[in-house]
Amino acid sequence: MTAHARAIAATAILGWLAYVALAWPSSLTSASASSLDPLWLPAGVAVALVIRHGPWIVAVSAAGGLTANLLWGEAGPWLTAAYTAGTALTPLVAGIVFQWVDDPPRVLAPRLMWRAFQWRDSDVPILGNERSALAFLLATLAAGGVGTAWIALFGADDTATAAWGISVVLGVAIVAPAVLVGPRALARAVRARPLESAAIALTLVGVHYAIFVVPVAWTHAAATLAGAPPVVWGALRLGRAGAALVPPLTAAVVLTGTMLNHGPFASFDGWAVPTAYLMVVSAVAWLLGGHAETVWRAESTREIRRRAAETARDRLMELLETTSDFVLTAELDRDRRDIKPLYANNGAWRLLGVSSSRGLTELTLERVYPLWAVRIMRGDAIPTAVDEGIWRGELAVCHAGGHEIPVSQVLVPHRDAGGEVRAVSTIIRDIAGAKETERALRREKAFTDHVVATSPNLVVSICPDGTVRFVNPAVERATGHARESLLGTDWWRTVFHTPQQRGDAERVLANLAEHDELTDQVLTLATRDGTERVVSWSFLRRRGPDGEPIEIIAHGRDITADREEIARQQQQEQLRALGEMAGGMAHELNNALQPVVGLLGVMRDQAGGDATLGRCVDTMETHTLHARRIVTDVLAFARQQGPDVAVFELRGLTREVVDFIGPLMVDSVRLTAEGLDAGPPLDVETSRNGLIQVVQNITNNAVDAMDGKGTIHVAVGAETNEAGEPERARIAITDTGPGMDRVSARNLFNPFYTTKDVGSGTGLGMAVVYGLVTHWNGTIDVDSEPGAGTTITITLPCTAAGGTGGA
Amino acid sequence: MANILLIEDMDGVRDTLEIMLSAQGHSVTTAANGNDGLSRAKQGGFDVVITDIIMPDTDGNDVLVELRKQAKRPPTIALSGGGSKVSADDALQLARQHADQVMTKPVTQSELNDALSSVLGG
Repeated sequence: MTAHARAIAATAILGWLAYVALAWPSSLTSASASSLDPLWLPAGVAVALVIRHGPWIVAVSAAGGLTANLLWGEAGPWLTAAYTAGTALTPLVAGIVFQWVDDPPRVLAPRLMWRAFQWRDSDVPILGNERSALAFLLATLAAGGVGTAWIALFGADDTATAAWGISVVLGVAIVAPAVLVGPRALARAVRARPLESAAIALTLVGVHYAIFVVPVAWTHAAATLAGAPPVVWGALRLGRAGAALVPPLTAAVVLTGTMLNHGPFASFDGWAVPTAYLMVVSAVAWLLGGHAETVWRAESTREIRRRAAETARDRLMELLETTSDFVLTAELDRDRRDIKPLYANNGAWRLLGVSSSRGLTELTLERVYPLWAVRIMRGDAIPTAVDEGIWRGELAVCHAGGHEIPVSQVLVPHRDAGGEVRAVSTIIRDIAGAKETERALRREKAFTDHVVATSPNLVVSICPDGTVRFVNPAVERATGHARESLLGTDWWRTVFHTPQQRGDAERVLANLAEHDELTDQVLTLATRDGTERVVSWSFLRRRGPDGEPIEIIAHGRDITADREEIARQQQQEQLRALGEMAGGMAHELNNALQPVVGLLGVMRDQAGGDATLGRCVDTMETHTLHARRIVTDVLAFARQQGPDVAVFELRGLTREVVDFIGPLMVDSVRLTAEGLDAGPPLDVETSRNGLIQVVQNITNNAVDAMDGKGTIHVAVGAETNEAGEPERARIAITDTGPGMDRVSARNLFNPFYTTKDVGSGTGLGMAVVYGLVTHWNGTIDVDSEPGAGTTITITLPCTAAGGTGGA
Repeated sequence: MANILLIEDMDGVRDTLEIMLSAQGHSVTTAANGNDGLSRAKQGGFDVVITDIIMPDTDGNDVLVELRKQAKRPPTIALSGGGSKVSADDALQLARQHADQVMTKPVTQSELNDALSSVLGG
């Protein structure tokens, strides 16, 4: 059932009831225009539906009813008036119900009642609520039903009419107020508003009594009119409870007057007119009271809302005036290319550096923005905001001082009831500080990036789970792993291989868990090709705002070369100290050996033919001379004694040396050479005998290491300077022996350090090599690994001016 | 047989060399320090002067230099003990310039004989 259908049905029922209540009793008691009665009902409904305008509906209905009665009715003036009133009221009630069903009851203010009656405001209902409407309906039905039944049973004589009237009065006067407000509410109303209650009571009792007592029509009409305002006023003041006072009081007055056969009603036959009068007065009072109550409630609600809204608005205004953001609302012109500011907050004036006394007209787009930003506002920002509901972006505004201030801006459109955008509001924020910070951060980052990228030190960022987040190029160089292949892999597994390396790394990790920051952590890592690098690390464990670790930053210096240099220096220092001691000892030993060496010869001469004594002398001499050789070698090592130095061409000299020692080699050892016969001349300071001794000692060592079988390769080469001239000359002697471990390589030049069987040498061969090469200002390096042979490289500085010593 | 002046500060070495030379039939005059040795050398009459290089006060090089100044001087043999002292190294270099023969101790009988033969032109 649609709302309209319900409204029409309700109108028909109410209209019929009003008709029954007002017109039928009259027709029962007089020869009225009963034959025309059905005509005005549908006509009234139609008028209400079509016109929907209270005064016109009433006017049309009243005119219709009056015309019908005057033309065709036989009733007297009172009946005609009542009939006309019924005719007028019915469509009005129909319209009220119509609207009530269409739009459930909400608000009505006294001053709005007229508007409601005019049906202008569709939001304003006339009836109080569903419950009260239903109660009124039931009361009327009950009263009408009792009266109708009485007439049907006993006929329509005076007694019957009187009974019907009584039943209606009882129904309306007793049942309705009770149902509507209840006795308690009534008592409350009287207590709360005694003045208004008294006014109603007095008006009704006094004025109505006057009506009935003074049987003059015009007096009656005047009194009715005079009594209406206080009733209306009281009802409005008291609400529905006050209105409930009206029916019983009116009923009492009417009943009394009629019973006493006084007043104008006494001149009518029956009770129809007094009853109608009672009902009209009660209905009007009830309606007004209901409206009033609804309005009080609505008004108080609205008032609260209004005040809350005002408070909120005040606070928002306070906020707007305090914030440093630029807030502006403006109307848009028709083509949406310009704005007409309506409001700008303090922040706006402050940001622009302009006094607010300059007025809103000052705030044109051209004044607020630089030219480029004006173009963006017109070309992009305003159209986008209008089309999409919002625009955000970064622009700049013009400060009065002449400079631009970078800002971020939000622009929102406002739509009117028709959905058209006629205004916009904007919030503009100064982001100069943020921009400056951003620039500073960017500069800082560029600096850091540059330093990290070009640093010779290793920089690694490691996630808490150990995976690599970042490495710099130095890591690539040190480990031999490409950056891409390192990213995402487990750092600790990738670069720490041996149990020793892993163990050290785990110790550092455990330490780091406690300290967050560690420095000077020396860890040996494995490169991609399997060699080792020694790196001194500093670690920083960074934590997030929640205290959880987010990364480890590892910063390392490759100290492999430093370590080697330190080891070399330590070795040099050690050898120098050894040399000094050995030299001093040798001097004393030489003197000490002189008597033995010298006198053994004398003893041999003195021994004559004594064979035993001769053998004794020979053996002693052999060992004494061995001792002397040891001392000589020690002295050579100690650089105190070496063959005379001169400038030689190294290639030629090495050729001589190789030719000299070649024939001395055992057959199972092959001696090969390169760089001896071709290449730029390499002039160095050395000595022939010394070089022979050096090469011989090294090759002897190699032969022993190879167990007498293998190849010895002698190669001469040079390191050149930028001009391509030889700067340093090199002799590299490589064997195919088993190689040496680190310890052996490190101790190779120490006097008396030997891996050979005791007694097979003086233990000074390599020490002598070291002594001689150092004597020539050269250096000597050992490159050896177990299983990979040994290369000993002697490097001698080339003389600036070439000489041709003995070559 | 030669008439030899032997200058050596260390008693053991001096005695040893005296025995070695005497055993070969040479006539040996000994001096225990450079001054004594030089004054004896200046008196003349020696076929060969053998001197230690490093000695306190007047050392072997002083003796050799002084002898060089004489118009007629005997051939000289310098004996070095070797050693680690820087002065020893320098002294040896000096001796190579002023002596006819330089030998490093300890010297054997035959080395000494060879050296004497060499300086005496025999």
